[in-house]
Amino acid sequence: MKLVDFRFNYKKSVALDPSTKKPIVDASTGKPVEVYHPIIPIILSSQKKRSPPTEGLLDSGSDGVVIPKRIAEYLELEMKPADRPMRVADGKDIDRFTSKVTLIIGRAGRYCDPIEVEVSIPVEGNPPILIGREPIFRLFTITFVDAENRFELKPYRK
Amino acid sequence: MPEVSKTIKISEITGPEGQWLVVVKGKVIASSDDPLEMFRLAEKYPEDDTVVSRVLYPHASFF
Repeated sequence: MKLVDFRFNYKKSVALDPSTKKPIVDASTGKPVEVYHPIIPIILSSQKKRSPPTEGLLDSGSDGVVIPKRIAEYLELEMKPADRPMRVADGKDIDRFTSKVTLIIGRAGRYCDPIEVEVSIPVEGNPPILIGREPIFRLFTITFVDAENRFELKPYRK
Repeated sequence: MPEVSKTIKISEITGPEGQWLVVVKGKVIASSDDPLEMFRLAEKYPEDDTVVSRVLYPHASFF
């Protein structure tokens, strides 16, 4: 499998309040809240459909790849009820489906070979696409440089 | 679907929190909380010019 090096800056997000359309302000500073996330460019595909270019949040706190149910429906995935629910950050258990997708990392003509991954699909909620540890953190050595708002993925070699 | 029209850089995004955005040639052309709707819209545009992005909640923890 051909895996390539990537180096990305963290993506800056300025969230707007949906009701006022104005930036959410930090009460202590009076300035808009700016957050930076390690986002990677991806394309998801199934045997039936391929997504447009989209993005996934690299999330070392997630055991695997998580996609929202509506994206699973777009890809026309065959969803199987999982034996065990997923436990989310607040300790709540949420039922989930599992399925398999093909994940392509990259953009602008620079792509890894497709990677087959098992995904978890929560029955409720609308999470971002989460790129958790299995298998991406095993295939790549990932370095987060928060002080410089950047991160790197290098194919893992012994 | 709320109308949004802003120019953004690929390394930066501004939009309603939690929304999925369709960005074509650096411009946000639509936003929704339904990613399926945004994926269907995005597939009408050239792949090289298009990305479906998500405005993440500040200070959020996910799964």
